[in-house]
Amino acid sequence: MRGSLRWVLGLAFVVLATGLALCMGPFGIGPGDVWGALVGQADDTVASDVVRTVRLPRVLLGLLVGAALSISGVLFQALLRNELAEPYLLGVGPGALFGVTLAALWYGEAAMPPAFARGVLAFLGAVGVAAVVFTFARRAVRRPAVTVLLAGIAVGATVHAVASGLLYTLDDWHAVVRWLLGDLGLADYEQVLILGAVVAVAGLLAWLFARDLDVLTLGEETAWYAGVEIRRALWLFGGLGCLLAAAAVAQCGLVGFVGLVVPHIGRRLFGPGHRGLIPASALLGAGLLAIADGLARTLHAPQGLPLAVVTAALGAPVLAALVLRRSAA
Amino acid sequence: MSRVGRTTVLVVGGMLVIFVVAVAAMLDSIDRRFRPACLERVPEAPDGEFATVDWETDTDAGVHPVRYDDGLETTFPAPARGTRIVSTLPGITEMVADLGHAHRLVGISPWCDVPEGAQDPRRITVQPFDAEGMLAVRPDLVLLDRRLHLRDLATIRRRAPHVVMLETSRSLPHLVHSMQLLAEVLEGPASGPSPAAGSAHARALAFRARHEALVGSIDPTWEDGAPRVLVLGGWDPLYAMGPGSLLDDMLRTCGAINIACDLGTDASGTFNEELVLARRPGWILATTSAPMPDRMRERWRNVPAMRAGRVAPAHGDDVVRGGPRSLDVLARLHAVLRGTQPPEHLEATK
Repeated sequence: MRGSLRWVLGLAFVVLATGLALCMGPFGIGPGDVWGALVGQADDTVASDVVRTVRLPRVLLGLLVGAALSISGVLFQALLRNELAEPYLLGVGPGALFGVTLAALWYGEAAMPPAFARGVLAFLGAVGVAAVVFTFARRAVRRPAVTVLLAGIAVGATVHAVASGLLYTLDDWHAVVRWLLGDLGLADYEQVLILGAVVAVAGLLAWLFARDLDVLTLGEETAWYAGVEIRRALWLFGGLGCLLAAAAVAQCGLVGFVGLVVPHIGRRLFGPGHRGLIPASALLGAGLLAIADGLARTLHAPQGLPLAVVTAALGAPVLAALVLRRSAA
Repeated sequence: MSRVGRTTVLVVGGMLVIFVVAVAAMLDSIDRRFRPACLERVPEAPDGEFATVDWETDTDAGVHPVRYDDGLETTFPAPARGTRIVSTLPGITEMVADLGHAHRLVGISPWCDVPEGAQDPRRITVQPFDAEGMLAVRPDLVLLDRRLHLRDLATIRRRAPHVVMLETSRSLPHLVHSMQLLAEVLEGPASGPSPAAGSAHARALAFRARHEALVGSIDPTWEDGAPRVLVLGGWDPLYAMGPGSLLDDMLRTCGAINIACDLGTDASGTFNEELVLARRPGWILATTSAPMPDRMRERWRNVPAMRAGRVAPAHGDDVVRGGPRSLDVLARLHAVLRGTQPPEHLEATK
């Protein structure tokens, strides 16, 4: 497929996914009413209310979370030269859980702390744990990437144990668990702006230094000979990856598989070069998460399904197909 | 086809499958328009399935229980008349006390108030199960809630075989029946239609009579259409009370429509926010003590309940516990919905 056609298809996928996601939900609203609500000419005020105050911010946030997790996945897979690497591997997930649990303990009676406190503490927890992991890596004389990977697993497991223990003392720990399974239910435009800024800045920085990522995938020694400062790259891309994943987790909990699967799809469709792979994964991840969230709120309505359940259901078969395809090749 | 070409076809094909599923879900949702019948009229009360105790007269031992049947799927030997009772819910503790047997309580849940007459009962949890605590108090009767504790039944019966499951949080008729069942378990079968004054049977009968009088006094018809009510147990995530909850039954008794009526029969669950906007409740009852988040006030500003200021706090312990005080809650709820009392009246006692 020609390069330009692929990009047109990628953009069309995101537009189509956004439109589809806006039409999905437990309250049936046809495409005409959705369009009317978006341009401010809706006949049905209820439909307009639903689309503009609930669905649109939710879909936009879903697009951004998908893009953030996908870019993060690309960065970690390149940095650690491991195709099974994903954003939560460096303790970002347990760190966010720890932060949300602390917020829930702090707020006491409320089943869940307010979104702002939850978001800030989830972010601090995730970044804090990632910082600890990278501090381990600073001590590594050789193979810092492997050290980061192992330190991430060890520190993540420790923090997860502590967070689970604290969680168990909460009266209503179910609310925290539900949130951790992925929930875009209370998305608003403020969250969209915050995450949008993070994705734009971090994504742009990653894209600007994408050539270093290309060289890093050839191995640390080769990258060193090619003039890439390994530790600086580790801090830069690791930091950006953690920032993106933590910002996404802070907004909607732990949504698995997106950061793992989307880079693989992106590589198949757009090739391994990171100049193309980063924006391509952002587009694919955004579209996929928007559709997944649409399914999550439509299937099993009115309760809905946790977002992580849908992303796993969609992502696991795709990953399995890709793995089988590669092993057969 | 080249290798790259086949891979592309595979990936694009997978994405197409995802799209087909998504479109099918969308069309399904549009087709249904998601307007279940229970939103148009007050649903009928579900059939009652009541627990029973079978009694047998033995010339040597007198009357004794032989079998307890919870009315559904579990049957096991009934406890002897409990003298060392463990109550696992605040509402059940209140029921025991209301029937005049607080002095028999040797264990209560951490959330129970210690009733007058109880002698320093030990705090015991069921979820997670405090097996050591249960064994330590040597109970001869453990009182559980059928909806909340059914999954724990086998675990509990390994340590304390004599259990009775009451229905305190399902409906008022179940609550009334549970009071009578409890009286029977505590004092044996009623000797006649007029039990001795002050006995548990007399108190349970008085509770039933009060329930019948109260329900009889409530007119479930509304000139301007039945009020649509949303009962929320949490804001984030949005958590609503649906069929199978005591408040849902109270709303039905008052002739009101619970807009989470299609939530299933598990009493509560997460509820999609867009349905709050779409179903336009005229009342919101908040059983959580957490204040409504500001951003929700903004997003729900067109919901009739918000515009009319009809958001009633409903997190008093008598509202959230099914027990002897539930009839007071029903009376207050009716008065609030009728507009004869302000929304805050629902929270009249703490």
